[in-house]
Parts: sequence; C-alpha cells; structure tokens
Amino acid sequence: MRYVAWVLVLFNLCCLANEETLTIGKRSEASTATVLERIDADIQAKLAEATVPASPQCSDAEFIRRATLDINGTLPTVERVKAFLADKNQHKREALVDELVNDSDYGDYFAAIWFDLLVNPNDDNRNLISHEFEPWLAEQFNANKSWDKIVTSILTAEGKRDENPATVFWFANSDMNAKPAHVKTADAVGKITQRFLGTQFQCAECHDHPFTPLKQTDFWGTAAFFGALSLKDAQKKMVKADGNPGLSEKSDKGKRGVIDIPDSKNDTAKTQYPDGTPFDASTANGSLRTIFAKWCTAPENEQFSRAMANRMWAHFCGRGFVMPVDDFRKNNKPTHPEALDALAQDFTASGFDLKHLVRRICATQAYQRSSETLPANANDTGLFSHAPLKMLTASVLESSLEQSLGNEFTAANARGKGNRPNAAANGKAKKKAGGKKAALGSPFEQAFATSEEPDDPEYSHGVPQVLQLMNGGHLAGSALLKSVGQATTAKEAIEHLYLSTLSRPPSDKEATRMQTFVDGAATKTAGYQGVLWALLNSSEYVLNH
Amino acid sequence: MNISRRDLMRLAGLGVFAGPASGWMGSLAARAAEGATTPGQKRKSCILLYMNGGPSHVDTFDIKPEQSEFKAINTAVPGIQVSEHLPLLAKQMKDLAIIRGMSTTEGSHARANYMMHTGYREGVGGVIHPTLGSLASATIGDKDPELPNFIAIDSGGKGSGKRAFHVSYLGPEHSPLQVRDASKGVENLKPAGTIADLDRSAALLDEMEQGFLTRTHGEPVEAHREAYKSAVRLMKSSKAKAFDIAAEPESVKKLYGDGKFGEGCMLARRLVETGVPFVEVDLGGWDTHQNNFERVKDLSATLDRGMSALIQDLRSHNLLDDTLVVWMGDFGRDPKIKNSGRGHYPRAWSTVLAGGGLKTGRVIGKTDKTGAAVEQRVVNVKDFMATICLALNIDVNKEFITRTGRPMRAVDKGENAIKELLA
Repeated sequence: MRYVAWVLVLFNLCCLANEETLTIGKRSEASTATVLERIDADIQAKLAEATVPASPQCSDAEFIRRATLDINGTLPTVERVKAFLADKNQHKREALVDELVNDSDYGDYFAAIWFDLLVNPNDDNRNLISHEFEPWLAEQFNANKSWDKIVTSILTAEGKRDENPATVFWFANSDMNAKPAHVKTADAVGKITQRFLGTQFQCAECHDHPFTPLKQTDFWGTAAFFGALSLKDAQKKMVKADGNPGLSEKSDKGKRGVIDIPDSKNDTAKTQYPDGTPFDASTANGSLRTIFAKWCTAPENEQFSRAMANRMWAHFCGRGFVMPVDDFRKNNKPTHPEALDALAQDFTASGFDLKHLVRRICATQAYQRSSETLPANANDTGLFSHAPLKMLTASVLESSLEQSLGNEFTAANARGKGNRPNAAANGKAKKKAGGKKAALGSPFEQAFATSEEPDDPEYSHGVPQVLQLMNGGHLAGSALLKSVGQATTAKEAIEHLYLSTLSRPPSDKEATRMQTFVDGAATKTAGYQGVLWALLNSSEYVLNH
Repeated sequence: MNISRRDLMRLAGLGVFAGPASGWMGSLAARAAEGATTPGQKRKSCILLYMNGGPSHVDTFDIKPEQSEFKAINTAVPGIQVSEHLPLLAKQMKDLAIIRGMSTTEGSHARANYMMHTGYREGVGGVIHPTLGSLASATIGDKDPELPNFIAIDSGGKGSGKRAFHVSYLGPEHSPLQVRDASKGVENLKPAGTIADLDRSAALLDEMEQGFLTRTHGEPVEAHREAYKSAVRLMKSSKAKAFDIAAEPESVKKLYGDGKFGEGCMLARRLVETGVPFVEVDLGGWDTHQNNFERVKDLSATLDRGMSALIQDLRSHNLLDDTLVVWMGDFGRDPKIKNSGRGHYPRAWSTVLAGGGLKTGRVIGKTDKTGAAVEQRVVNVKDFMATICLALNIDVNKEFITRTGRPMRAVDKGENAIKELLA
C-alpha cells in the first residue's frame, strides 16, 4: 500500500513537470509555494481537462465572512468587517486566518465538531458520557496540540472519567445496561478506523466486506488491540447516582492480543494492524493500545494524515478529495490525488500541526474562489471551480443569529469571550439539561438539528425550521433593532443592518431599494424590522458561501 | 417535462417567471382557495409504520413458540397465528397480509434503513437514492400542495427519528415535513407581527433571493426557497388544522391510547384524510440485543394498540381501501437467543401490508421450523418496493435523471412484485 502511494506521488510529479503553464519551485524543498502550487495546479489541471473555467477570487467581504464561519463557527463583528475591508495590507487575508485560528472560538468550534464525530449519545451510554470531553478537546485544539498527540491521548485514555475526560470516547462506545457494563469493542474500532483513518471497517464486523478485500478477521485483528479494557462503576445504577466511572486496560497474560469473534464457532483473532500487518502481542511489553496508537499516528502510516487532510479540506471547501470523507478504499479513488498527497505530506512534515493545516487550506486559490458561478461552471460540483454553498449547522446558525441580533437567543447558553458559546459553559448547560436534550443542546439547536449525521451535506432546513426563522419572534426587542433606532440616517441604519447580518455593506442598488422600503413603512422601526427580517431569512444569510 | 430542473431554476433566476409584486411567496393575506379534487382515478395514500431497530419476527408476526417465550394465538383468519401480545391486530387479520418470506442483505442498521427506505443498496450507481416518501411525493403527490406531500412523525423509542431521509435527485420540494411530537403538531404557524407586515417583508425577501440565486446557482438556495414556499403555503392553508389531534373525539383518542405512537398514528389518519399522500410514523426500540422478551412484549403492546386503531379508524372513515399501510423494519432477529437477546437477522423476516385495496387476510411465504430460513416465496427489497409501488399506482419503471445525467428507476430492475396481493 505504501509503495503504491509513493509511486503515485512520483508519477504525478513527473506529469506536473511537463505542464507548460506551471512553474514549480525547488521540488526538494517543502516550501510554502510548492505545496500550495501543487494543490492548486492539480485542481487547475482537472478543470482544464474538463474545460471548466474557474470563478474569480472572492471579495474581501466574502472572505471574512466565510473564513470566520469556517474557522470560528460564527460571524465576524461589524467592527472587524469594517476594519478588514478598509485594510490596505497585501497580506491581510493571511493575517486574518492567523487571528482566527488563535481565537479561542477556533478550539471551541472544532471541539463541538469532533465531539459530535466521536460521541453518539444513545441508551447504552447516556449516563456514562460527560460533556466535559468537549472543553477538553477545545483545550487541545487551542493549545495547538499536534493531531498525533491528541489521537494518542484519546486512544490510550484511562482512569476516572471526571479526571480524564478523554476516556469519554471509550464510555461513548460502552454499554452501561449490560451485566457487566463493558466497552463495545466493535463499535469503538469502527469509530477509530472511520474517524482517525478514514476507512469504513464496520461492515467487516459481521462478514467479509462486500466491496473490498476486507475480511472479518481483519476487523477483529484490529479489535484485538482493544480487547483488554475493563470498566469500573459503570453500571447504569451507579452512574445515574452521579457516579464517576473508570476505565483501565488490564493485561491478561494468557490471552494477550487475542480476541473472541462474537457469533462464531469459537473463532478468535490475533492482533493485526488495519493494513493487514500482523503483530505478535505475546512478546510485546506494555499497553496494546499504546502500541496501536504509535502505529496509527506514525508518519509512515500515510492514511492517518490523509484522513485528516481530506476531512479538513472537505470542511473548508465543501467536499473532500475522497467522498464520503471517511470512505477511503481501493475503488473510491481521490479526485485529485496530487493535491491530497501534497496536503497530507505537508501536514505530516509539520508534525501534524492542525493550525498549520488550516492556514494552508485557507491560502489556496481553490478555497478563495468566489461562490458566484460562471455559466460554464454552474453545474460543477466536484472540481472546485467555485466555492460551494455550505449549510450552517444548527449551532453555528444559532451563534450567528445571536451575534447578529446582539441578543441571547436561548437563556440556557452562557457567553464566554467572543461569539461562540464557550465550550465549558456549553458543556455545563448540556449536562444540566440532561437526558436526550443534553445531546442536542438548546431548544433552538434541537429544532434545527434534523440531521443525525455530522457529515450530512444535504440541506436540512425543512418547513418547521423555516417557520421558526420566519415567525419565531426573536427580532422584536433585539439589541440590534434597538441600536439601529438610534442611527442618525436611514442610510446608516441600513448599512449597519447589512454589516450585522450579511457581513458586507449593501450595494448602491440595494441601499436605494431598502430606503424605499423603510420610507414606505408605517414607522421607521417597522421598516427596519422588515429589512432585518428579509436579511435574516435570506439564503445569503443562512448559507456559508 | 423536456426542460431540466436546472434550466428551470436558471430561467426563474433571470426573472422569466417573475409573477406579480408579491412574487413566489404569494400574498399571505390572500387565503388559499379550497383545493380542487382531481376527477378520475382516486389517488392512493400510504402510511408507513417504520420499526426502528429491526423487530423480531419469531416473536411477532411469524410466531415460533419453540423459539420464543411467547405463545401463539389464533387470528380472525383460520390457520393464521400471531404472537399472543398482538391480540388486537389478530382481530384485524382480514385486513392484513403478512409477508413471512422477507430476505434481504443488509445487517447494519444504517445500511438496512437506507435500503428498506429506498429499495437500493447504499452506494449503487454512485448516487444517493430518494426515500420512499419523497418518491411518492414526486409521483403521486400534488404540485404545490397546501400541506407537504410527505410528512414524517417521530414517536419516540430508542432510535426514533433516525432515518435515511434523502430526497436527492427528486428535488427539495419533496423533502418531508418532520413532526417531532404529534401532540404539538407544527409550531410557529402564525407570524410574529401582522400579516400585512409579513407580506411586505416577504416581497423584499423575494427580490433578494432572485439576486442571490442568479449569482450562485446552488441547490441549497433552491432548497431554501422551496422550504419557504412550503412554509407559506402551510401558513395559509385551512388544512393545517389537520395537525391538531386534540380536536379528535374522545372515543377516538381512547381507541389509539395516549402514547406517542398511538398519537402519531392518529395524526397520520387525519393527514391522509386531508389528502396527504404519504405519512411515515416511526416506533423505535426494536434492537433487542438484550432483554428481548421484556422489550418486545412492551413494544408489541404499543404496536398492537396503535396499528389496530389505525386500521379500524381508517375503515370507519372509508379510507382503508385507498390507504396502504406498510409495516416494516430494518431486518428481523436471530431465532437463537444469545445473552437474553437476539442479533440482527436479514436472512428471513416479516413485513405486513394492510388496506390499499389489496387482497389481504393471508400470509405470503413461509419460513422453516425455527424461522431461520425462507422455505417458500422469497421476497427481496426490490420485490417489496415494487409491490408497494404497484399498490400506490407508482410506475416502477419511471426513470429520474440524476445530477450526473444518469437515469435511475423508481424501483431497481429485476423486481418481482407480489402479484397475488394486488387486485
């Protein structure tokens, strides 16, 4: 597998050398120009092949809105937008991205995303999981702990839940109703391979994979690294009474690295890495999970960086080079192998630096294209000819509305610095709400979170959500509406409304239209409210573009 | 339609279809005219009761007393027996057809859920396939309906609300209206201010949307507009009172009981009565890997009450012949008990079809002694889908063009519908 990957890289580099339109810097240096050029060149090449033109670069207003939403999960403030638009610095976009990744909202936002990716509350784990895992993740992201260290901490987590929130990953894949309460190894392995290695192992849990040469023994060979886990104080009764469950890895000398395959005639599997390499656990010392984590996060295991590079690219650019993002397999090749390789190799070379990865992606031409289409690229969905329209998730939409209205949308969320509910407060609020609500957050989030799948690309605003946006009554009495009432001219007020919502000033045409609307309203306030209503219900507002 | 949906949207964006000042949202102040009934063939409706988790067949509709703790009881049809915990449904047997030969290939919840709802295996054709409700909306549904053509009701239980609802290439106007709680219906139907104010703002919004759509041509924008159109139609519609289950007479409420599933079934009947062609009600909790008998007994009681009430109620409203009731889940469950529970089992399981003018009061197919293999009349998901489509007058051969230009049939080729059931 690794050999093939290297051959592909060399092959692609040779192809690029023949492209007349490209100048490649010194290939031997991993300089910024080379990486970005490799990525954009690959994308450009595929566009040329398909004779699809690329849309021009996005405007500054588009950029600050998009980047703030993508990196911090909220809208920029009016002041920040004004300052950015007026800034004459040539490198202001780079500087903005820098600022955004160093804002604590960055960690909070990605913590919320990864919490949802790693923890699915259900009847088996409800009392075992704690939302303290989310602020723990936020801390790691904000301190820019490298991805290999974060994943290792999660994979090898042990101890009591409240003292080590990383154990929540394991509790999320446990069953507190079973006697005794135990980790559901198959579930955990499925999650690990899916989220950290971008491969869907789950089918092979019960039978040989229908589409790839993956056997049941391959799945259970990986699971054998995790077969020695035991839980303490994890029975439903105990945790319900505000307990603090614990997790440990016991080393069973006799059966080390061997696991029973359920529903089989006493079949067992011995430790084997996901790429098929067997591992002799009988002579190895120390925790098997640690050994697995070392293999998983090693630079030699390219799939580790590829999985994250692909997922991060999808987050920013709307789709990964491999789709679904966690379904790398033989018959699901990347659309842009060279670009993926460049990004992944760079990520590895940086020491799995996540903020670095974000900066790289945001610096590409592909990311910075406008979402405005050209007639010849309007139908393109896979070539990155233009920026995609991305749905805002329920919690990001809520954050944005709060930011725009300058108002608490729900009483339950406490505010930390910045505009994202800070993860610690979010965690407390969620814990307090309890039960199923804890998983879904505020009533607003519950109403809007129609999709259970965090990677769901489909539009999920149905009629009930639209009715809430239209008739929810959150506009009247908002701080925003009150503040524009104090504007000296309608022109000023309208500009403020646009900057607060769409993060851009109105065009002359729009300004005139809105002026007419306000003039024709019963009162100035009614006029402003109407304009605000239209802005907040527009596609331009509810979408990231 | 020769013109593609894409072209339509482009033309709309250029203002070709620009209507009067009130635009696509229409004036809220102008109430909708009463919907006209289309003459000719009476349109069929469908109520899908989805059992999330995969219900055990040998403990319910294919009762095997030697594998189960439950006894078998006779039904209203001599020779047909069901679990002792489905006594009310047993009495309705004349209106039910039990399909005991279901045999499918997906044993994981997500994939099985997808397959049972779409008739396709996930990944086939490289597209995402539309769910049955959206298919119904796109084929037998109304254009610009007052109430959405496809309404999905959550009724609690573990796994409730978890479904693979994809609309995909059919278009966002066929996405379901999701009702989280039947007793609450649809909230926020009234505007916050006056209708006149809302009308003015709506016209403004219309203009903004035209501009954005022209510039970006994205499906989410189309979906957003469709959602707004649907929402406004719903706000204007007098039919929205169908969502108010509190208006049912006490005797009917008693029939359904006061659990969430019963309420969901009651709402489904009201919606079908109002003319909604497809309603899905789910009941979760059937994934009984532990405490199988305790849980199946409880769920059977809930199911028995709700589903029998629905059938009885549909009959008394003269709706049963034109309403197909489908009972299905992810898969069946292993006839061998392990650790007090049963594992996933798609190899042999049961579904039930009722009403819809079908030749009911019978069993189709049979399993072996233990319920482990189908001995007679294997029914795969394509066959099952085809049967449903034929009962609803949906053309199984109808082709839809996906975004990549690839044609996709309503039901995958090679289907073999259960013709014995169809009149």
